Amino acid sequence: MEETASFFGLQAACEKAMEEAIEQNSVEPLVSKYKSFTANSEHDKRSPMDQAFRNVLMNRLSDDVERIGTLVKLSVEAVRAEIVSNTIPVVLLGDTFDVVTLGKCEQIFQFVEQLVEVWKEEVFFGSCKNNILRMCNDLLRRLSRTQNTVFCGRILLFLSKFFPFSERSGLNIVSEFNLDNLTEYGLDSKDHDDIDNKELEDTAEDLPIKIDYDLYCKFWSLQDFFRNPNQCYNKAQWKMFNMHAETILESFSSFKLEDVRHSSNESSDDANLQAMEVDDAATDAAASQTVRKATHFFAKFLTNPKLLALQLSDSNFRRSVLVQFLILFQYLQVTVKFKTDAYTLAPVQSDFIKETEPRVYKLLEETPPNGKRFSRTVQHMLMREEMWNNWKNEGCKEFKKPEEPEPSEDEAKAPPAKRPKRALGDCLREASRSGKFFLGNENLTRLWNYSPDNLQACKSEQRNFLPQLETYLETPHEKIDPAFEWRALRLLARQTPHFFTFVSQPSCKISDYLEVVRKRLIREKELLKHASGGAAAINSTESSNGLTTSSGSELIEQESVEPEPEPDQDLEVEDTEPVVEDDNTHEKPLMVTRAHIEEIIPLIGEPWMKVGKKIGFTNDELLFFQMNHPTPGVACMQMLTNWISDDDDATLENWAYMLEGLEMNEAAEGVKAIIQRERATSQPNNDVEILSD
Amino acid sequence: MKEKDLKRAYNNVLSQTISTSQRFLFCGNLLGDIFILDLKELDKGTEEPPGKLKLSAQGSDVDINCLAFHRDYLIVGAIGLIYGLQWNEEEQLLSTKRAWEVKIPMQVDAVEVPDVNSMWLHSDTDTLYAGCGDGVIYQISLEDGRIQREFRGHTDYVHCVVGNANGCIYSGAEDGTVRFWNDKEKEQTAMLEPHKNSQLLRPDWGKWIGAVAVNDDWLICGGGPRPAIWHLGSLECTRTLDFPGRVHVCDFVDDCVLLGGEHNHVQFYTLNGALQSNIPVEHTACYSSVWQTTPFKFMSISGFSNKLHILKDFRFLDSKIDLYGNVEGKDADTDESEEEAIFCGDAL
Repeated sequence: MEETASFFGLQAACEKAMEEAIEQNSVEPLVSKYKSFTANSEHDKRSPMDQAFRNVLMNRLSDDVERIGTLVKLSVEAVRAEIVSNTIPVVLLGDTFDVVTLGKCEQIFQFVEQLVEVWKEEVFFGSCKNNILRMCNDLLRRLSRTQNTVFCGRILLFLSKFFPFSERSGLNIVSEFNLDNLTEYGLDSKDHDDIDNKELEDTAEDLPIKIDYDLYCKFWSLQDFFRNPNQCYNKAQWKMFNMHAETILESFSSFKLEDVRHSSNESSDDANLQAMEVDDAATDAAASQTVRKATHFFAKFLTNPKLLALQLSDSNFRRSVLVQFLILFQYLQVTVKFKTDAYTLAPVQSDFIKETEPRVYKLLEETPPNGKRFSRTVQHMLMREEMWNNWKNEGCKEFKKPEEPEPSEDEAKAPPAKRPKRALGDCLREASRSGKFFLGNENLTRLWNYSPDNLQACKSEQRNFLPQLETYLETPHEKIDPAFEWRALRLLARQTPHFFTFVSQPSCKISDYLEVVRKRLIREKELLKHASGGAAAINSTESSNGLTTSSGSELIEQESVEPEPEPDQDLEVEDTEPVVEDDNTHEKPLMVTRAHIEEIIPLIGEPWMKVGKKIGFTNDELLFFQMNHPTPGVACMQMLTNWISDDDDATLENWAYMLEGLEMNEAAEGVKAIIQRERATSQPNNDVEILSD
Repeated sequence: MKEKDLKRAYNNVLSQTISTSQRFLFCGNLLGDIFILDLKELDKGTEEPPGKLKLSAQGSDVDINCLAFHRDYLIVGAIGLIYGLQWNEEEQLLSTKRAWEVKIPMQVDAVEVPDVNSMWLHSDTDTLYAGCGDGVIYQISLEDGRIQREFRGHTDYVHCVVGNANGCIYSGAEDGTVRFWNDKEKEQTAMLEPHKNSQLLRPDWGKWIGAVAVNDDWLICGGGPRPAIWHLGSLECTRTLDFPGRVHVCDFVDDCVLLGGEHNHVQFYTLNGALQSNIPVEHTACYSSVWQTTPFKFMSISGFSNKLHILKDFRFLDSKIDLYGNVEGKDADTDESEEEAIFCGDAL
């Protein structure tokens, strides 16, 4: 009897061990404790252990959320070690949810979510399934569907992850509608509305057609059809639906919403219809950004009559109603296993649907922002819905992963065979030796190597993309394009005094203002032409304007110059890029000559190998120079002559820069002196330009 | 019954006006009937249709061309004649006796009695301006019913007269001109001829101007020529509006321009000329629109059909109200079944 401890003794011992286990964050102490009670039977030991867990939980409830989490995780490990009953982790969670506030529940629920893969393991699934479901349902019952939408969603998502798709309890197999989702409207109709609706369902056949009077009532009466689509199969009801739907859609099309901010977005959306399929990620980001801006979510429609006008001009609201139409139409058309035979569409009805459906899609497309995109997405979703429906009709079969086709061998091998990869180091070395840049990306490499001196190239005249105001205003653009307007105003402020004159206008829209300015400019130009008459005068005005026409053509040239990105381009880079070639403002690079080298070598002296390395010679090349020429001076001479003969980039500037980098200041100063001397002799006026820069 | 059907088919409501209390709408048609609608009925927000209208018959020989409301008098412009009817707000009763009458004088060379086509009421000075079929605008004092002044200049009948508070009058006429008048000047102060602008001219439809509206700086006019916005100071046409039909109604509403006429839609344009809202109507032609923003927003558009079109936020058609067949009184009961039929017909 001494060896077999009582329940409470065991429990106390377990609790003690548990403190230790939590500290170490491992289940080992518990297991060893458990094993130490050899005299008790397995069954006897488990329940004290269970109880110990629950007691510890009770003591720690007031603690922070993380510690509850660790306890749950420990219990999972304990189950794996077979020292507690399988349900304990879930029981612990369930107990916690029962006693803490909703805010805390929301935080603790993350552990449930994190462990979803654990719950799905065989050990847990069988025994915990019901406990988990009960726990979730208890939580859902406590939550408000309108206030805690996010948490509700999390729970439902968890359940759908946890249970297999074909789990019967999660499916609405008989296709029932949520008939409780009544939308009440009207000022005083609250009390008799319910009765009305019930009557409608029961005795719909005999009721005279109820025609609602104004837009408000017509609009909200539609919600009843969306709630219970089967009403549409009733003739009288259908007539009413038909009429009201017609009115609502007409209203929508009579007042189109316009989206000022995103109009440019929309246009690109249209233009890149094809491109978008490829470049989905980018537009996705843009679209999601706009979506994120409007994250108002209402679980229920607000039906105050005063709101209707606002609602009708709210694009989100409009969308949700239009999507409701589409969902209804889809339901009416598809075959659903549990629809009774009476529920078939008359030809007139299906004609109406066929006619109206494209109209709804068109309205969706016309509703900004990103209307076309939205409409396509909805269409896609509805297609998926149809698949789900078919799946349900076939009795909710379990899902199997489609068997993956074996990747054919040549496919796997083909890419490497096509292009043996060069070592990155080799590429870099080769590039730097030839004074180029290697950036690892073909397009970047090409761009970086346009010109030997990128900064100089940026200053080039051709890089001046600022268009002439007149030409810019003539360019075709969207009717309302804020970006265009902004740019035009900037140009206006820069280039003409019209920016500061007052224009009397019926509207204050910028686009109109710009239109007026454009007309004025044209008129002015004509006046100038008339006034001066002679062709010479025209020339002079044009040139003072900065040659509007020629600058336009220049722009086009610029575009055509930019070469198409070629995928298979190596490091042979166009050195003869026009940007550099015909540019007078650039200084001509001063090449290093033998005479220069002779002058500088004494200043470099002993550490010539460093210079060699910097230039890009390999170690063995340097060794070769050293071996062949005993004195450092001669070896250095040999190396540098090799350099200047091989490398186009062997300019004095580069050299000076290199030496400076090696902190050979004396030599660097020497090279700089040479540069100044050379400049002074070859291009006397260059100095001035440098100053002006 | 047959006469009823005819009336229904040929109901042409040329004019509407709202009472000073802003609680009642009056509509007059060419058959000499005035319909009175209680506006409270429109603002109920229930599923019930608004109550029946009241009807006050003026006799089939009276064409009601235009209506105005001053203090507690409804002013009716008919043929060669303007008269006032007292409105009793409490009993909601329109007196059948004419309280006063002003006859439009016949011109010496006139062949027919001139219509009163358009009236503009300047309530601050108790003055009524009436544009008539003889091409003259008469300024009538409502104090004593005297014709104070005649504005002469138009060479054909005047379609539309409007004005603003500082004593300027603008009139559009069949002769294709819009003339500007001032209380203090004898001759017209300015004149527009939209049909001489090639952008506005629609040769098939002539040069007549059917409707004019003004605000502080701008004027809209249209008719045979395209509707357009003009600047009052510079007399320049700044914006052409693309209304597809002939224009009988135009107005500045909030920040928009309302246009109606011989087209199956009434349209709202922004001042920049962009179509904002395109509202389908049943009228063969729209002839009148009245609106108010207080105590609640509401607009009624009427024309050649048996229905008033009600807009509650000026962007969507809210409802349609039947005129004949929806009148309270002796024949209401017999009419009931038939009305139902019409409703159903409508539903289909």
